[in-house]
Amino acid sequence: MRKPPNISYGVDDTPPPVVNVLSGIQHVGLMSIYLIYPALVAQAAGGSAQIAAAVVSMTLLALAVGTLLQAMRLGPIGSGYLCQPIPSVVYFVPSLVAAKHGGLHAVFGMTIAAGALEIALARAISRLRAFFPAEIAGLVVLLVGVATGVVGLRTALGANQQAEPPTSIDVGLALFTLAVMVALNVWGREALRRFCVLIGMAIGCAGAWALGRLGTAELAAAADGPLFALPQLDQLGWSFDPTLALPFAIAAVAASLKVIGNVTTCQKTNEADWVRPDIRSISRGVVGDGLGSVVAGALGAHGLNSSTGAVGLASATGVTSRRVAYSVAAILIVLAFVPRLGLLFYLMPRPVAGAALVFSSTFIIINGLEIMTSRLLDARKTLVIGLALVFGLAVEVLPGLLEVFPPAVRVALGTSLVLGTLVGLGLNLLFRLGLRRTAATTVSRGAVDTKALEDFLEAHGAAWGARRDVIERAKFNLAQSIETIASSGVAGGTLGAEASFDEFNLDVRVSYEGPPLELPEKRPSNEEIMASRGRGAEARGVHAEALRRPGFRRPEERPIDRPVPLRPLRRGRSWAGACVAALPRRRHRGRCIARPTLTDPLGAQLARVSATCARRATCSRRTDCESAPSRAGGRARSSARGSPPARSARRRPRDERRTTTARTRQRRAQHALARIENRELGEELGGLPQCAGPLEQRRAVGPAYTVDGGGELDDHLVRNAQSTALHALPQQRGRARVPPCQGGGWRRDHTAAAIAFFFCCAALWCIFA
Amino acid sequence: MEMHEEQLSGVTALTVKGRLDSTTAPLFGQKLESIVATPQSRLVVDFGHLEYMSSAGFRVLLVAAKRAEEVGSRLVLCGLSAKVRQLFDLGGFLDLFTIARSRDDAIAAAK
Repeated sequence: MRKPPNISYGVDDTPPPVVNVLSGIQHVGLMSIYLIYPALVAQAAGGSAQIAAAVVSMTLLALAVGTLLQAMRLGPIGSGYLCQPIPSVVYFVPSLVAAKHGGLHAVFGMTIAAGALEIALARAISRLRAFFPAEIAGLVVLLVGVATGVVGLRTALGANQQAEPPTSIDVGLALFTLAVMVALNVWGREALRRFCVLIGMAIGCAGAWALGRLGTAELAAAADGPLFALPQLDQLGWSFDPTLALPFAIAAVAASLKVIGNVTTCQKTNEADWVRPDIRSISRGVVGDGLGSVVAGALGAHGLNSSTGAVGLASATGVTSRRVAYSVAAILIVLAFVPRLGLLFYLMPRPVAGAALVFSSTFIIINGLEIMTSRLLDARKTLVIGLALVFGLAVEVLPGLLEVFPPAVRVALGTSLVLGTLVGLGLNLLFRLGLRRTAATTVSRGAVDTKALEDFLEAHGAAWGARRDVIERAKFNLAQSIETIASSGVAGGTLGAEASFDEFNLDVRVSYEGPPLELPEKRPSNEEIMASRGRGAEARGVHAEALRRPGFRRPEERPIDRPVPLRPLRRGRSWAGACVAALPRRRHRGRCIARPTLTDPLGAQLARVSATCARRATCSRRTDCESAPSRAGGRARSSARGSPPARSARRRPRDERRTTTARTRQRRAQHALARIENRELGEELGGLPQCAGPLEQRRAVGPAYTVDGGGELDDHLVRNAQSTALHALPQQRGRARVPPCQGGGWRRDHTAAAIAFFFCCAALWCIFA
Repeated sequence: MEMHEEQLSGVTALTVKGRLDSTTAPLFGQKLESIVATPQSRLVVDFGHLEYMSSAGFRVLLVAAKRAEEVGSRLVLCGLSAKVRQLFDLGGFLDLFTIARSRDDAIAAAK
């Protein structure tokens, strides 16, 4: 995991104790804003001031446990990030309803049930990875940022309490605090930047005191309170009410969605090469969050949910170490038993706390935008993002919009995050129907239109939501490979290009009828490049020797027993399997000893080096490629996914050689398939400088290969790229042309999408019924 | 592909626009050949608006460079975008050609 440059202490780093403690205080200061919720719930249940104080103390204890659960990866529990919970507004409204109906016992009991439901939902998240593509993750992160900013503004302006309108003093104080934080973050030194929120809050509190917004009476009351006190346990008790199940169930779903957004943001914040959400980490985060709520209910506290403000604060200050969570937990435990200190945090002026939230939200919003724009977006993706954003923001701008819904639904959909995410997920699910994951086109050998090839990849890359940089590389590889094959004169008839995408890999396969191409081992000399103008004539000359051999015919004259259609791939079936299956069931009578030298050696070299660069970036990330056993494994994997050329097979270890029969090798040598594999996971592009370190280590275990003017490449990697760049596959002469954009048929993901869509409709129908 | 030729203080400036692939490379090659074949000629090729270049484009450039060397002409390239420059790097051509950052630098180098 490569740490982004703006992060001083990453998730696995150990910050100095001073940084750790001060960061913990910052986070607790931000969390303390939300302690109003348990106090209000206790009041709604008719509890006394002592009971309200006890619920707040228990909530602090539950927060400490929840913080630790989220930061520590204990088996399936905890995301492992600094992503602590808060007494969330998601549980606040259902808790208010429960408090009025069944008192605090109902609140605590139903909180346990909601937490258990959240844990159950976490099991399903890992199976729904396909429904959370990067643009949806970016949308959720963006909405998290927007929701945080809106909550911050409301807090700063007193809109949450609705008791009194915001005054000019409040607005001025909030702007002043925000300006201090921004100034420290932009122009301050690193230490100031790291604690800009804490310093800003301290200066804001001083300003509030000077302006008379920090009540001296409350401060005096805090000073008079006991220094140390055990929380009162009289309110403890649990009851379950089926009539309250729906609002708490919806709250659990909303809480899960919020955790998905927050953990995704944490991943993006901590990893410079972040590509897509890690669903396992998210699933563990949801379990940790649900368990936190279960603990909260058991302790007699308010329901907890992951804090967007905390994630934004960590990103803004550059301290995202999970060890800060230990400080946060320790401070929370101390506050739970020292009411005087807790009250001080509780009395923080709202404009100051709101300014801190607004400041934190900005970093989350940019994270979300970056994630979304990293993908190519077509009309479907644009509609998903745009409509979800409009609906999400409408909740904030037009609160009356949800009046048409029943109260329980209104409560759950009452935030931009939840409604926007649900709209985005639903539309994404809907638009998956009919989306083809495989597309094909044909190219006439005599008139290669590289622009059309690029447009082909561009259009389908946008429909698939592939990364922009991957499509850019694939475009050049495809165009160069087609040009090389077409100009070499070995291809007969038309060339077929097929691209498929499965969120992890973009595979581009070029097939043609003719003998295999042989890639040059090293860069051709300038004289060879200039001499390659003869093209077709030279190719015929190269073929001459082969044509003299009995039994060998030129490609266009070779008889083929029966049509061999290019079959659509099924899930779980490798490309190699499909290639072998598509081979004609006929044994060639003669041996193909002809290895036509490419008449465009430079084109082949460019295509190969370009593919090698992608491969090299992959291996620079997968450090297991650097050890000798793993290298063998890498070759085996390559063999399974593609059909390596005969020369590559000869150089494999003996045990691997056994797996490839002589007959298969002969078949592979007699047909050609160009396949360029762009493995998204490993491709940090402009990867060349980044893999300088690992290349040094690899050089020790394998012979190095020098490309003129290009630098040293590992021999294994060159061969790997070679084996995946150009391989053999027959294309039936005279078969029906592959229509442009041929689809792979109704596949399992479409079925899953249809089923999921059906269940969504059923769930909505149940809610409204 | 579009080509625009102009004379700038004794130097021929050829601006190439669009895609230089196997289809358009022969035309480009003929144009280069017609200019550099004249002894002691000076040619600046501006790739500022070039979108794509394949190996066929490199080939004609190499042929033109060799021809220019034979007859004492001078060929300078300029305006390479990052994408096209990366292709020059991949192919190992950065050292084979005189490449200037701007057209003015290229004209100065050609003189």
